[in-house]
This record gives sequence, C-alpha cells and structure tokens, in this order.
Amino acid sequence: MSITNGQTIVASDINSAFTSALSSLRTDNAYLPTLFWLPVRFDNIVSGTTSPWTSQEIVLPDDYLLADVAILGGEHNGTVTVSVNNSALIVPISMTATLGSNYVAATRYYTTTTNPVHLFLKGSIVTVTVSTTNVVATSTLTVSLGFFSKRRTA
Amino acid sequence: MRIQTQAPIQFATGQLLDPNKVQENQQYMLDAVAAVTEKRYAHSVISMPFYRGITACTQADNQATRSFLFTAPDNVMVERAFLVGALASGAAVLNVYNASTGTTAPTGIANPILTPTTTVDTQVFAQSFIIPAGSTYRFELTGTTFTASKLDLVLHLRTDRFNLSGTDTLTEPTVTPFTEATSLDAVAFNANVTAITSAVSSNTAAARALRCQFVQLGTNFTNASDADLLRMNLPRITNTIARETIYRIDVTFCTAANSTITVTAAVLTEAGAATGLSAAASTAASTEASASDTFPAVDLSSATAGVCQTTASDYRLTVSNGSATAVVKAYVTLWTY
Repeated sequence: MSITNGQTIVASDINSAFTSALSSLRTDNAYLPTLFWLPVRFDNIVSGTTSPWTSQEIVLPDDYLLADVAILGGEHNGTVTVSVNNSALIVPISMTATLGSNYVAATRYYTTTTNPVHLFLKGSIVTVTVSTTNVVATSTLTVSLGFFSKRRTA
Repeated sequence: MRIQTQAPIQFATGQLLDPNKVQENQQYMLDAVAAVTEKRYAHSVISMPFYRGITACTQADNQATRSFLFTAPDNVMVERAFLVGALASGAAVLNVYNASTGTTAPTGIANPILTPTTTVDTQVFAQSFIIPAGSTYRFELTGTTFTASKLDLVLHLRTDRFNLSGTDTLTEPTVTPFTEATSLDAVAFNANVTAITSAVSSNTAAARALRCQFVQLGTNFTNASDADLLRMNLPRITNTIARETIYRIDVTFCTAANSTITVTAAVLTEAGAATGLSAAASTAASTEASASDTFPAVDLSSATAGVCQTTASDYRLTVSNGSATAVVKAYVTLWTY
C-alpha cells in the first residue's frame, strides 16, 4: 500500500500500510513454540531389575513446559509404573500402563483441568523412574517426554 | 531485548494527521521486528547410552561400538556435556573429535572432555564447542581396560535459525523519523514501510530453529528380529500452541566385524504407510555407516485444537536390517522445527 504526495489520504491508507508490513510475522506459525520429544529408553528390563537400570536423570538446558508424556513398549508384557519428577514439582507425574506382546502405545499424560502442565526451569534435573511386572527379557520400554519452549535470545 | 509498551495507533479519517503519531507507530513496528529477530536460538537435550540393552561396552568392542557419530545439519553448539552413571570397572575417558580426521578435537577444547569413574555420579563438561554444519563428530569411550555400567552421555544442544538460512545477522530496518518539525512526506513514509516490510520478510525466511531428538532404536538385531523391538512411536503434539515438524532424519549403525549390509530408518504412519522420509545406510566391508534424508517434512502438530491426539494419529519411527548379519546397535537422530 503506497501513498503519494498531494493525494487525499484516508485513515485506511495508513492503517493498512502499517498492518500489512507486519502481516507475515503475525500469520507465520513458525513463531509458535516448538516441541521436541525426549525419549528415555529402558530396554530389556524385567520385574526385579534394579537401579540404576530403572531410572534416568536428565539436566535440562532451557526452561521447558512439559505438556505430554507417552509410554511406549515393544514386547514389554506387563504393567508399568512411571514417575516423572524433580524436587520442585508439587504434583509429580505418576502413570500406570498395561502393555503387552507386540507394540503398545499406552494412554498418555497430557494437560487437562486435572493434569497440570509442568514448568521445568533451566538446570533442573528430571528423573524418570520405572518399575514393571514384565518378565520378557527382550523388550523395549520408552518414556517419551514432550517438552516445548519458545525461541530464545541466548 | 526491547519491550513493546503499546499497541499500534489506529488512525481515523477526519482527524488531523499528527507526525508524532505516525512516528509512534513506526517505532512500535521497529520494536516488534527487533523483538522477534532477537529470538534466534533453540535448545534441546539428547542422551546417548553406552550400553546395548543392558549389555555394557568394554575396551574389547570395536571403535564403532564404543562411540556415537553425530552429524550436524546446521552449526550446532554443544553447550554442555554430562556423563551420567558409572563404569563397572577399569578406567576410561570420553573423547570427541572430527570423524573425518579421526584425531581433531573441536576448536578450542582438548580431549578427554569427560572421565567417568566407578562411582555412580554425573560428570560435567562445561565448555561449549561448535559442530560445524555438515560435519560429523565422534563421541568415543576409550581406555586400556574398562567395562561400562549404565552410562549415558547427555548433550545440551543449541541451534541458531539464522545459520540454517545462510546468514549470521539480519539487518535492522532504518527509517526516517517524523517529527513536528518535518512535514509528512509520502515518499519517506512509503520508504519506511518498505524497509520494515523487507526486514520482516528476511526474518520470516529464517524462521526455522532446529531441535534434536536422539534414540538408540535397535540393538543386536538381524532381518529375523521382531519388528516390535525396532520401532518407536512419534506422538502428535497434544497442545496446539506448539508445533513440531520433522525436518531431517539421520541413521547410523555398527557391526561387530566388517560386513556389507544395509540398515534403513523410516518415518511411517501409524498404519505403516510410507511418508517418504527414510534413510538407508550401507556398510561396504566396514563396521559402520550413516545416512540421512531431509524431505518430505512430516508434521507432528496437533490435528485438532485442544484435543489429545489418539495413538492412531501417531507416526512411527522404525529401523530394519536387510541381512542375517547382526547389527550391534542402530541409532537415529531426528531434527525438527
């Protein structure tokens, strides 16, 4: 939208010039926060497997919102209890899922009116701990954590 | 970062056009562009396990088995590295170097970067270094005699969206200020709007900020292994204020001895249909191979606002071995934006 000297300028001429200049910033969904999944693997664990094989600690490099947790198992034939915690969580995430033979993507944790979204600050340690009734030695178990945050200035 | 303190002014026909108000709006736009431009970095965290299933690696394993290759599609800064866990016995160190030279440590650092002990703890390497775009670096556990227990290398990664678009800086727009002392000139007004629009376009073109996901997806498997052990679902995002699109896939595998086999990693729909995103790595009388693929992009964003996505809408990540010769381990890196 251009204006010229000498023309009668109506308000929409100027308003639209300003509005259209920023339109691609406003409409591009690339500026939404981006998410990545952090898969935490516990392969070949069975009932009776002991620490440290049943837990993993991750130090986080940025402020993240944890919005989703997925329990995924291949040939993991048992009931799995998963906790996601760090010392700052008021309500740690605790999940139980019954997996089975074949590949099972179990019910997920996601943000609802009763499941809060969790904020993990930069430098905090997330601990994922699992226990299982599985007795199949060759199996996979993945706890995928869905973190998202906006882009940063540093 | 500049703070936006006001919304743009809406002008109304019939009012006097005040140069100060026009200038306020221009400044608002400059602030908005600057605020977005300065948000250029994305951070992610990955974990590399130095065990296969619960089989720990030892000094007797070949180099490919004792290490992980990491290829950067863009300049990737490793901000910190952690070794979480312990050795079961012996002594070892963790080195990182350019895989193409085999000995060159990243610029500015000296190996070893980490030294695990036989006590379960977390070792921290706090110096940052860059893995240049297109380079492959090797993270290798090595020692005269050692057996690793559960030992994970955790990397903090940072990418810069400007790098991926081929530039390190974006020019901030310059505009002619309007004041009480200057008449409102249409030519200057148009030039100012054009300058701001151009800056916005450059910013939009550099919109991708890559994040990284890493998973060791298969251990000790052949063409007869159960496919359920060689897959991992990629759930869609539940929260619709975020987004995730797979931009690139990298797969690396290794064998215990020289072999000539192919391992394929692919992103499929939950129903098993191809998405076109797959990478096939082949050894040629060697113990290690990598491959990558970048298109088509696979969008994992939520399909329905505010609704948890069912597993039927997942994608699945798979690896497969075309040979009866066992693959010691295969690992996949996904780059998303």
